[in-house]
Amino acid sequence: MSPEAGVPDMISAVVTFHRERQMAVATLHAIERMRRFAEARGLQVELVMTLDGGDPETEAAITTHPALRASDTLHHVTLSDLSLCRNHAIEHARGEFIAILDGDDLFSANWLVAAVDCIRTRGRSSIAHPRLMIAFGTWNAYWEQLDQDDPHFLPETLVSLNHWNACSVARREVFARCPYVVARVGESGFGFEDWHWNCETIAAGCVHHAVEHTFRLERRKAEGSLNLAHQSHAAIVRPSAFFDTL
Amino acid sequence: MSEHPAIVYRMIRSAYRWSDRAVVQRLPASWRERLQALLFGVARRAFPARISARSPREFAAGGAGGQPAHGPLPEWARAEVRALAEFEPALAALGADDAALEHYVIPWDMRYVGQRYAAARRQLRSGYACMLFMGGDLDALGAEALAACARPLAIVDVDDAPATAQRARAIGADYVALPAGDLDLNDHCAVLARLALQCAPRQLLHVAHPVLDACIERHGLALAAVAEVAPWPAGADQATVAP
Repeated sequence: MSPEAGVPDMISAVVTFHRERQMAVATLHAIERMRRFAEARGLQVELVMTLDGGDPETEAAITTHPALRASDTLHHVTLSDLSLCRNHAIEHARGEFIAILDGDDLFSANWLVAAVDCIRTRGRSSIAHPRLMIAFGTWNAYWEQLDQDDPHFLPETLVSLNHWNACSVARREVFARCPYVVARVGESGFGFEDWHWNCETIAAGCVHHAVEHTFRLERRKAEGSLNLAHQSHAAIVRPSAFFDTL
Repeated sequence: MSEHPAIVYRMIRSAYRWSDRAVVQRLPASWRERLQALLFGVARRAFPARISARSPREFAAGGAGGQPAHGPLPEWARAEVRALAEFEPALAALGADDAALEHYVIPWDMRYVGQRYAAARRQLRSGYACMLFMGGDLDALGAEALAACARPLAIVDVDDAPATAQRARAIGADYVALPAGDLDLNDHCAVLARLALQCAPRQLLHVAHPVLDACIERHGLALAAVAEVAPWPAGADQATVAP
């Protein structure tokens, strides 16, 4: 990643694809809906996508999607790791802000704009997350994410609980300072790259905020999800400086 | 659980639910949270096998059984979900029907695991040449073998035997007792593994013990990334443990 501050008022939406097939179509429509909402409010949005060992159906779903623009990029990679894919995309991102999005999720139209507003209001080291998480598919449920400034936030609970999902927006320097760390759970026993990133960013002085009136729709699948892989391998979060501060 | 304690449990659960509706929910937030934390602590100690809730918040949301609560999605979110159903038909039911969506309560106040870890971590430092995971009697491990352990040495005792702390300090080791207490096996293993991962000793030795065996089986692969992991005594089987 270049050390510069990035293109002002631009959000680089980092979208990681693997084998989402037709699910990628809905995701890209939802991202385009966010992009139009952001453009109407003076922000630019570029898509920086990775396809990690994908299949032809997923590739076709992405490359033929009507939402794609000439400035959007798709990187074909064979990294077999979500963290490394995100880092790869972030390296190629141009925006002042980076948004982390998964290739099979959907989002409220205002998510990117509200996240940038939050960061501008709360300070350069702020990290924005949607307030509501809505799971759909094999489990239909919703829950709230907590603000780190909320008096109910208790740091020691991060030992057993991940407070914030990977869906996040922050200034590019946050990602330069705290890149994601590889989490090939079957090979390493480590997992939950977002949980680890949350811990590392807190240790680095960042503050996580839950942005009101925003949500992420998280697709729950019967098989093939990273969550299930983490559970089946009894994955544990990598060592983090945060756990030495408790 | 035998029939009698089961009846007692159901009676207490009914009383809790009534008092929650009639009293606790009418209190100011800070009083309510304190009272819920107190009731949760008592319930966990009285009925450890029956309380699946992991925190006062989860306990209060689900009644004494700790089941998740149900509640409507805010209207602004429901309208957004309906709009997104244009792209993903599976969302149509969620935007239309309250019953289709469970309001899951995250146990933000699940403190007991983190507190146990933090208390143990504060008693240890980093840079150990050897960390010994043990249970039972330290003397049974043999004075000669213990003397041969690389220094600095940290001993983590999952049984908290009375004489072990004194004996460990007598041989110049840092010592921390980490018995199960109110941790279930998964949490106990996770706290032990977190402790070793953060201390990052050069060598991690573990005696045969049900909790330690489970910990190494679950997290041995991750632990091997920070330490040479081997069963006690160190010379008996030098094969690094990896599941």
